[in-house]
Amino acid sequence: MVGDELSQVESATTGSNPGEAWSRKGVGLELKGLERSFGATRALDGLTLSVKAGELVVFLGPSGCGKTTALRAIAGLEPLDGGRIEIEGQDISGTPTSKREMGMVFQAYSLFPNMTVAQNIAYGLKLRKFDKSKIDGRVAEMLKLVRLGEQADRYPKQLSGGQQQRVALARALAISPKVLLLDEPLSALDAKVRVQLREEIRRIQLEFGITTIFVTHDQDEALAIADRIAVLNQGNIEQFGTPDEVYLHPASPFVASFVGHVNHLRGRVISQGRASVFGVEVSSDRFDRYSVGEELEVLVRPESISISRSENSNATVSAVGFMGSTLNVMAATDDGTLVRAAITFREGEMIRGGDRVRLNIEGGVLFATVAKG
Amino acid sequence: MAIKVLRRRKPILGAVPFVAYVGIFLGIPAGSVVLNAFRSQSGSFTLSNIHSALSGGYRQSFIQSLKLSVIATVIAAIAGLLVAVAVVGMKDGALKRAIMAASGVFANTGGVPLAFSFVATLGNFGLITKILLSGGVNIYSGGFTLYSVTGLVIVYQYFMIPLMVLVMIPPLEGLNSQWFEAAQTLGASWPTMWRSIVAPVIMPPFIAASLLLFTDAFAAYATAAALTSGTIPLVPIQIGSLIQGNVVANQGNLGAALGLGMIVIVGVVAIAYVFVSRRSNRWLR
Amino acid sequence: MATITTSLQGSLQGSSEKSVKAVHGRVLGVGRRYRTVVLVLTALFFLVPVVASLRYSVVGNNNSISFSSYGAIFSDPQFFSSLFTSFKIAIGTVAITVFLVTPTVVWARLRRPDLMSALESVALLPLIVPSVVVTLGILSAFASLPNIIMGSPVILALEYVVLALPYTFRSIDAGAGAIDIRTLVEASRSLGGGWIATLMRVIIPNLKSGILSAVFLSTAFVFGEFAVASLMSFSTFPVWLVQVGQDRASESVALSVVALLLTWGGLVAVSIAGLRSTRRRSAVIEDELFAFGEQL
Repeated sequence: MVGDELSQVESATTGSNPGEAWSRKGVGLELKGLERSFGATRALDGLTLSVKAGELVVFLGPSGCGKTTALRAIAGLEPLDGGRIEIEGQDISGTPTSKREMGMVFQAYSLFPNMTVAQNIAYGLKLRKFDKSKIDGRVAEMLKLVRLGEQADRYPKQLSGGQQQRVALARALAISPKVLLLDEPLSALDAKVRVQLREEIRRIQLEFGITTIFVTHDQDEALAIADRIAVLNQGNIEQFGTPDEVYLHPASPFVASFVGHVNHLRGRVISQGRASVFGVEVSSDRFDRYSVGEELEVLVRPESISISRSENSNATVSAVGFMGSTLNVMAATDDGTLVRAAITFREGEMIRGGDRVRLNIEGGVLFATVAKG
Repeated sequence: MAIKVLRRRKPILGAVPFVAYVGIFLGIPAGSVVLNAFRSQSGSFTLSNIHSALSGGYRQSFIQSLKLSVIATVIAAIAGLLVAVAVVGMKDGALKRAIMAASGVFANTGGVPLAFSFVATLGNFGLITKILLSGGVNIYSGGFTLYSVTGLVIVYQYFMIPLMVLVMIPPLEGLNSQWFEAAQTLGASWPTMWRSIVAPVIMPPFIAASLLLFTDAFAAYATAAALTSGTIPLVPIQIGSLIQGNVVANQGNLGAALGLGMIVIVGVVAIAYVFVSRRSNRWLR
Repeated sequence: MATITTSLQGSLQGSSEKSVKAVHGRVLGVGRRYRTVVLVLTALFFLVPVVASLRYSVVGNNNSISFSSYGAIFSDPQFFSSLFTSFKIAIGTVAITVFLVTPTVVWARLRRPDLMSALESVALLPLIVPSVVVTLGILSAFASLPNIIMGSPVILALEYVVLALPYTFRSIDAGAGAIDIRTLVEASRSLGGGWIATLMRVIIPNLKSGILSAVFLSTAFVFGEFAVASLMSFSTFPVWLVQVGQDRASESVALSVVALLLTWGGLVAVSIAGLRSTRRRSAVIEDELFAFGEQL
C-alpha cells in the first residue's frame, strides 16, 4: 500500500497537473442494504446505492433522513446493524476507519488546533511515513490546489471559515483517498463563500476524478454540484438520478417538495383528465386515475404558472421579488389561494403588488393526490 | 483647528479612582516591602536582609514552602484531572450540575474552618483516626501527624482538587470529536491521536492550572497557621511570626526580605502562567 | 492516567476491530466503572470531614453526646463581638467595592472598552502579593496614619476591597458584559432618557446580578479572612475562632461547622440563582489570567 502511494507521489512531483498525477482511478462504491437504528428510529432502512467511479453523488434530504449516518457508515465512523459496503468489489464493512483510505471533510472545526495549516495537511502523510521532502512537496502542491500557499504557517484559529474548510479538503485529499466524503462542508459558511467554495470543490473533484459523496440539505447546492442526486427520506432513497431528472421528474411528492419550490394547490376533477384549480381548468394525465368530483391536492412548480394581464383576471399580486432575469411573484387568487409563480422578466412588463392579473397553469402538473381533510 | 478637535485626548478620568485605590492600598504596601528588604535598621542600603532570608532556618523555610506547594500541586493536579475526565464523560444532568456546583463551593473553602474540620477528621481524636485505631491501625504511632507538611498537603487538597476540576473541565469539553474522527480517517490509531492531538491541546491549560494551584498553596497562611499554630516553618508563617514579634528582635527588615522572596517566586510563576496561556490562546477559539 | 487511556482505547479501538463501531458523542466517553470509582472516592474525601466535624462538635473527645459546644458558643460574649466586628468590616468593604468598581466598569465599557483588559489586569495584581506580605507592607507603610484608620478595623475594610478584587471585579464586569451597555445607553438616550434616568432605570437594574454576586463574594471574603486580621491583632470572627480552637477544640469545630454550612449555603444559593456572573474564583481567575496573558 505504502509503495503504491510512494510511486504516486513520485510521479506527482514530475507531473504538472496534480489531479491527473495523483488521482487513483476513481473507484466504484456499492452500498447494499445498509441498516442502522437508534433505539426505535431507523436511521438507515435498507439503503442500497451504486456509485460509479469518479462520480460526484449528493445525498440530499431533510435533517434526520439518514444522509449523514450513511456517510459516516461509509467512513467507518458509524456502526451498521446490517448491510455491506463495497469498494472495487471488496467488502470493507469490517475495516476500521483508520485503514479505509477515505478522505473526509466535516461540517466545521475539524482542523487540529495545535497544528498549522501545513502540519494539518501533512498529518496523514506523516502517518504513512513518507520522506520529509516528499511530504513537503505534496503539502505545497495541496496548498496551491486550494490557493492557501500564503497561509501555510497559520493556525486554524487565524483562518476564516471558508479557508478552514479548504484546508480540511486539502488534508483529506493529500492522502489520495479512494473516496472523498463531504459532510455538509459548506453549512457553516456565509452564502457567498458557500457558492464559491462549492464551485471550487467541484473543480478539484473533476480534476482528480475522485469518487465523491457530498451530503447536504441544501437543494440549490445539490443541483449545482452533483452528477447524480440521491434524495433520502426516512433512511431510504426516494429517488436517485441526475439533477435535471430529479427536478423535472420527481419520483414522489416528497421529492417534488424537497427539490425546488412547489405550490400545493386544491383542485377538483371535472372530467376525465381535467381538473379545476383555483377556477382554472387544467388537463393532465396525473388526473386520469381520479373520478369526477374528487378533491385533489395538486403540485405545480412556480415556473409552470403563467401570468398575464387580461380582462378576466383571477388574482391579485401580493408581493414581487425581483431576481434580475426572473420575477418571483406571490399572488392571491380570488378564491383565497396563495400562489407562487416564477416568470421570465422582460423590460417594460414589470408586475407590482396590487396588480390584477390572470394566472394560468401551463407547464404541467407534477403530482395530484387525494386531498387530506 | 478641526484636526485638533478630532485628535482630542482619549478620556482616562474614569479609571483614575480605581487605579489610584489599588495603587495606594496594594502598590504602596508592596513597594514598601520591596524597599525595606534592602534597607538596614538605620535606613541605609544593605543586602544583609536578603542574605539572612536566604540562609539558615529561613532558607529552610523557603525549601519547606516550595516542597509543600509542589507536592500538594502535583497531587491535586493529577487527582483533579482524573475527576474532571470523569465529569466530562457524564451526560448533562442533575448530578453533573451538582458536581460542578459542589466544586465551586469546595474550591472556595479554606482557612480556619477547613483546618478545624480536618482536626475532627484526622486529628489525634479525629473520626478517621479513631476508626482506624479501632481497626488496629494507629496512624499517629506510624509517624503520621496532621500537624505537619504531609497533613497540610492532605488538607490543601480540599480546595485545590475542586479548583483543578473547575479549571480543567472547559478545555476537556473543548476536545472536539471531529478532530478524532478526522484523525481516524487520515489513518491515525488511538495512541497516535492521544499523542498528537489530546496531549498537546490539554497540556497548556493543565500546566497553567497547575501554576495557579501552586501560587494558591504557596501563599496560603490561614489554614497552616490555624492547624500548626506556627510550628511548621513555612515562609508565610515565618513572616507572621516576625510581624507578631515572636522572634528575637532586631531583625527589623528581615520580614520584608522574606516577603520580597515570596513576591519573586509568585511573580515568576505568574510570568510562566502568562507564557503558557498565551501559547494555548494561539490555538483555542 | 493509564486508566483513562485504556478505557478510552477500549471504547474506540476494541469495537472498531469487530465492525465499524466508533465513539459516539463525547470524545472522553470514559467507562462507567471508572467514573463511579473516581466520583465515589472523591465524594468520600469531601464528605467525611463534614461528617466528622458534625460528630466531633456533639461528641467531643469523650464519647458522650451533648450539644453543649453549641450552647457555649452562643453564651460567649466574644462570639457576638467578633461577629459584629466582621459584620461592620463587611459593610465597609462591600460599600467601597460596589462604589469603586461599578462606575469604573460602566465607564470603561462605555468610553474606553480598549482599557478593559488593562483594568482587569490591575484587578488581578493582588494575586501576586500574598496577603501576609501585604500585611507587612501595611504595617510599615501606613504606621503613621491616624489611629482612626490604623488603630481600627477601618484599615481592614480598606484593604479587603483590594484583596478581594480578583473575585469581585470580574463578577461585576461579567454582569456588565452580559448586557450590551453601550447599546442599552444609546437605546435609552434615543427614547429620550436623561443620563440619570438611564443610569438608574437601565444600567443599575441590569447590573444587579453582577453586583449582588460581588456583594456576596466580598462578604464571604471578609468572614473568612484570617491572615491580615490576626497579624494586625483585630478580633474578627475567624481570629476569634482560632483562639477558641486553642483551648476548646469541640467548640471551635462546632463553630467551623456553622461557618462552613453558612458559606456553602450562600454559595449554593448564588449558584442556584444560575447567574453567569457568579462563576466562582477558579473560572473567574482563569478567564482573567488568560486575558492578562493576552495583554502582556
